[in-house]
Amino acid sequence: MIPDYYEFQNSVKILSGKNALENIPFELYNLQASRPIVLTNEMLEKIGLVQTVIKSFAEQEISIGAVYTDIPADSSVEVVNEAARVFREQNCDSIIAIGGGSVIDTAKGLSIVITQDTDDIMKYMGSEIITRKKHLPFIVVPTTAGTGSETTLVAVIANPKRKVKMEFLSYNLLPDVAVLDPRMTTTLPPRLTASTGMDALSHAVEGYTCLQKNPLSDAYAFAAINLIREYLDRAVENGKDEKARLAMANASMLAGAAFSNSMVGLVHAIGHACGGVSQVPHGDAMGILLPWCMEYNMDKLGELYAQLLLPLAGADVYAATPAENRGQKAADTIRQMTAKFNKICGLPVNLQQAGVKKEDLARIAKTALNDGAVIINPKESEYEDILAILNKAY
Amino acid sequence: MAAARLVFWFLGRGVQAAAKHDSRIRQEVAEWSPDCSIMLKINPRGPVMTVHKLAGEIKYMGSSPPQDPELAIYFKNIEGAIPVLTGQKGLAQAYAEHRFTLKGDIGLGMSVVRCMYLLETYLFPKFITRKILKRVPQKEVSSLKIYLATLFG
Repeated sequence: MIPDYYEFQNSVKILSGKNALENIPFELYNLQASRPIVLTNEMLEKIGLVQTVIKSFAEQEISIGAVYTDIPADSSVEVVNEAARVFREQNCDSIIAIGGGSVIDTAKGLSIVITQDTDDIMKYMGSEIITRKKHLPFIVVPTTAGTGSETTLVAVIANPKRKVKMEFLSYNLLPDVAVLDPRMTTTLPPRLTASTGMDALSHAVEGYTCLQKNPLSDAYAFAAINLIREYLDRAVENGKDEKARLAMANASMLAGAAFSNSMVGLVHAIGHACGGVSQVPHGDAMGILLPWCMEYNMDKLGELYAQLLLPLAGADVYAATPAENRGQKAADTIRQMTAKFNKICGLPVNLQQAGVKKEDLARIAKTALNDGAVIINPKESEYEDILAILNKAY
Repeated sequence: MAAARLVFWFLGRGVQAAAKHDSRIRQEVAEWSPDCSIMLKINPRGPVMTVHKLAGEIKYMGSSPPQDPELAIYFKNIEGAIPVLTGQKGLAQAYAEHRFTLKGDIGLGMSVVRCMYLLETYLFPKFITRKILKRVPQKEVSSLKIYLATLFG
């Protein structure tokens, strides 16, 4: 189905495969940059991943201006401002972000501060209000395969003083280059691999079904799910399987591009709230909530879920399932995946296992209602609807 | 443009009226920060509609843009605004189609969207709300009451 109107942008250049990292200096040269700041976190530096990237600069004329590692699990305005101070002090001219969602969000925040020449990013909070003032070369090297931040237009940055999570949505936040090198994810433990993989799956499923879906985002989402079906198990069971790691990095990137353009819905609205209220890791929440939210949406989105059974379960299962049962079968397939990862590496299958207290469900439901993703979900969801989903997922 | 101005007047006066009579809108407004102002504008030249929370109540402030609104919603052009303002397209669909930009806290934006849904339930006939809303909320009072309060309240 063709929408009456849609917009789509994915301008990120993808470098995918063995020795992709070694091409970063060329890409900087191509973007006319010569002194990047590297944003990452202490853990990634400790396990040597940052060194792997920096080594790729050996014998190159480009020098690294600064390596900033003080980035916590949740990006904050203070961290962004501190990184901006270092960026300016060291006369940097570009950004390389090495990490997961938090590092990449910090890099997007830094990009706002530098390109808009501001000390107050709160002014740029909202949707599509950041205009392109000047171009700051921006390269991302993801170290998890889930957030898809390397191809998304969104950044979430906390403002602890005002106790708010600031959301920034702008096509001008898209990086120039995403580098998918299997070396960057082979050290990811099975539990985290499964959790981030379910995050990528939720991006693809919601990207395929939300209000802004369009033929381009559909293609990205479908391709992502195919890769997840084929390779997520392998990546969880054998982290050193570079082919599986590269496939999952691609799945995450594809799903990121899909949801960046079609946006995410109810699963993410509730998942964000589970993280905010009860500190449930995002991917864990996605794995738990996805089938329950699909069942909630089934009367409205059953046909689309039925189409997703093909990439989710493969041609044989799709063909053997009667058309009217395919939507439910898609939800069941995801539930089976979570159950399997529960056995292999302890991925939680319900909110209780994820550490949520029953008495927090009401607060989670109320928080979810104010999430921007609610409006994008094709089926209306009010407080009672969300609370009912949470109770089922508990 | 004149039609858009008229609809903005109706929306502004309407939300002020509905907030007095519908407990759900009152509840939403109660959560907004004190002194919160919200602006709706059609780019590039207007019109503009502003509501302001004063002493816990929502007031329609006419068409002058506030100094520093907590939330500003800008339709990109009149062509994108008219279908929304005349009940041909829902707010959610318009957002999905990038018809407007939003400056400020998206959470507050969601609260405003919920208020607009409720207001539309009172101002538009059911055959329209069925088309533009994902779910039509129950009315707490009659539409006539909201219309009278909008026009004369």
